[in-house]
Amino acid sequence: MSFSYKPGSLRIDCNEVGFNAENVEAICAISRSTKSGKTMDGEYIGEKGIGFKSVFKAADVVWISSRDFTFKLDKTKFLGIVAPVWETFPEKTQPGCTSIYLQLSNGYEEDLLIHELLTFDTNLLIFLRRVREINIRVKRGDEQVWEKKIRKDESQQGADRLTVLHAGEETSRYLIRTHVIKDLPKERKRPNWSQTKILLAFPTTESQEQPQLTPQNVYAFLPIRNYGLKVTRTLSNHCPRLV
Amino acid sequence: MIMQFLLQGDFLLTASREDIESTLPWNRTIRDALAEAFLLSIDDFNQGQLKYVWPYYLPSASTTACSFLEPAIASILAKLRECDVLESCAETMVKPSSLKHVPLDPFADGEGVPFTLSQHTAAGYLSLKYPAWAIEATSSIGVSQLSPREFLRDLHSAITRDPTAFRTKSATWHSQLAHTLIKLSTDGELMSLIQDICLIPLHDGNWSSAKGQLLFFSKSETSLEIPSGIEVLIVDSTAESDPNRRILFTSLGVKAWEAPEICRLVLKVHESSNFDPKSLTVDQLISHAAFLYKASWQPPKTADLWFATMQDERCMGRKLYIPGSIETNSPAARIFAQLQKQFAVIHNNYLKAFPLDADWPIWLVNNLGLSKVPRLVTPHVEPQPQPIQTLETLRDDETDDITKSSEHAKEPKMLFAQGEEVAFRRKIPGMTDEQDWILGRVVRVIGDGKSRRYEVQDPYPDEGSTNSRYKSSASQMVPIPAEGSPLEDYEVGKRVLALYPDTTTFYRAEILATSDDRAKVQLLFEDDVASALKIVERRFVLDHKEPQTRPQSMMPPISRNQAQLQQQGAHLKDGPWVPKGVEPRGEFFAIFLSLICD
Repeated sequence: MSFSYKPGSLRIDCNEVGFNAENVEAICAISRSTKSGKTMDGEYIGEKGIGFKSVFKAADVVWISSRDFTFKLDKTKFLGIVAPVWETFPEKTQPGCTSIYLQLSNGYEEDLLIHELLTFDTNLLIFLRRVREINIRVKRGDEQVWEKKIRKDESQQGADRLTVLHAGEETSRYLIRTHVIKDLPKERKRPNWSQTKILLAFPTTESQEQPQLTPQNVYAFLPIRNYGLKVTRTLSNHCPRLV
Repeated sequence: MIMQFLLQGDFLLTASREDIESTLPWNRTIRDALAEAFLLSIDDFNQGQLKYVWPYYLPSASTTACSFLEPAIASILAKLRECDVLESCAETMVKPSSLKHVPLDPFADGEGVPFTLSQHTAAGYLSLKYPAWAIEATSSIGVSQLSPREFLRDLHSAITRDPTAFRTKSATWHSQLAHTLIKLSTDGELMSLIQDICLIPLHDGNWSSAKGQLLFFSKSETSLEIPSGIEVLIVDSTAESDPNRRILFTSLGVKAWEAPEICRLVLKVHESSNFDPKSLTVDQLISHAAFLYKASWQPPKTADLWFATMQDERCMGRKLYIPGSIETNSPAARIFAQLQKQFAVIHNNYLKAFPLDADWPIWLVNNLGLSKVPRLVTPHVEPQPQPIQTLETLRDDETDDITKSSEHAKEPKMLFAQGEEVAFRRKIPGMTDEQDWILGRVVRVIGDGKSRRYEVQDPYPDEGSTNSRYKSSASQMVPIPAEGSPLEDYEVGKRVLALYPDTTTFYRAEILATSDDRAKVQLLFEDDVASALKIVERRFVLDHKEPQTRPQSMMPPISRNQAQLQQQGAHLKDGPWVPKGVEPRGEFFAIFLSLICD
């Protein structure tokens, strides 16, 4: 997965399976997420009701290219956010990738987005189950392109999972412990769930050195919260959902 | 709230999607499970590699927002307090609240082992395997940090319990401990605790605490060394040469001594009523006097030091004699050799302490009250030669047959037994002059009847004399009554032969009085000034008629040699007392002994 910013636009590329017709329909509809009720065993998915449409907080026009679908949604047009217009993707696309191109709104404070990208919290990757790698590119004016690559390796260690994050030169290791919660109270938003689980990620090191943890979190805190990426402070109790 | 681990859970959010909906039972259930999940994790960690790391993950309460999770954190901390989750230095798993964390700086040695770690403290100390960054958080579950006060308490009890273990630690270790204690000693209250601890090694191998002690460093700026045998605590020289320990000892009140201080101490020791001078060796006593001298100290006028005498007895300086400069074999030397049998004379080794220093004996005399003998005065004798009597006496002696003396012949022959104490006159070959009556003991009886002779021993022979036994006969012997035997009083004014106090020589004297218990007699010795009354034990006051040939005057007898001297123009000056048997030869001195009056 990659995020590429240049003045006026943000492009997101992802090597996921891609959209089918139903997905396209859902992305365009209000309150018709494909996620709702999909799983009842405590696996994580995004929050129902918050979805793709939130991109229009930042962007006027969104282009999407996935498999055979290439279309745009244009907030400035009447019914533009629910009526896809079939149109070629503004930039070159990569085969096998789903790409999203946001043309940022005039009034959008791009500096905040830049800050967000520059200070992206590596730890978010720990709980993003399907994301293995995130690349971030920021190009501002005539400056050199700023780039960051984050990669995640996972292995099993007994009942626990060992996650190793590589961000540039830095490596951080986490021991992930899963705790299953049963006897859940009734909850309207989680109908018929018999159990859920919490994950505790303990920073570790290969030798007995002091694990490093805190600094990234300090940066990851407020901006994310302010911009709708649902990550709470040091508790990443929610995964960011972009789709 | 800061958590040292990441948590992901399916919390339901508020409508703004920026916060957890705190009132929802669903969220609360998940939250409560957090505590359980964390505690289970710790159980697992304690079995594995993270055993000494996990305290790092402990959440700490803080004022930051997210109050929703606070109950879970409080619950985690409360439960851990009561569980045996931490390892002690004794490798037991114990409750955090029963453990002390020992801050390695400053309470551990260079190898990171607490100074106070022992089998008694190990179970109460948090294991050293926990890294510092993990220990920090243990305070939230009840591990307290060893305070300086507790450290000193533990140190004190460790040293008390096992002094050997403490004393045999390496020099480096002691230095490091001192470094720590120096830091603590800046606090007055802690200082007082440190002073109670027995941590100062002394040069005699003992150890001392600082409290109430007068302690000195062994080395001083002077070249002097503190003499042994005085009760002053001197720090071990190796220990004090370590800079840290020296600073510590200094802050504990150990002083670099100064000579006057030690001088006063020496004197104090000697003047103390329970001081036993016999407990010190001759060398120790010499070192004391020598120290005062070397320190150029001016003792108070009344200062009185104990000395060793020639006979290895002990005597206060003010009753002690010291020989002046006398030539070997001179008459003065010989008289002095005789005197030291009867008087307390300073031990030879004193003079050897500074053999080339003429000021040393003078200093002893001037500052510690020693009396210098012989006191040399210009000889002066009234020209009143008595050649005839003297010659007669000589003839008597030369005949070697005492019975020829008419006076002696009239006396009934006395019998003496072996072991009996007597006053006797020596018969010295080649010496024709009449000898003094001196104290002796019959060591052998030879023959019987008219030819009965005795061998009498002089218990204090002249120095250099090869012979201490003399052949004698009854006429040259006067019996001394045994101790305790009943004795009659003498009439006042009677002339007797009495032992001169503090000597072994008998002289003529006049009875002045007898003590109420009859044990002592007050006498005026012949040739003593009229006021010089002496007290002598009754049994040493003998009824013995002097030969009529002897002059009755107070004038000393003048021997043949003296007569010759007179002819050569020398004059013996009147002294209050001239000991008999002195034979000035070549030198023109009479000898005047200033005797001690008791």
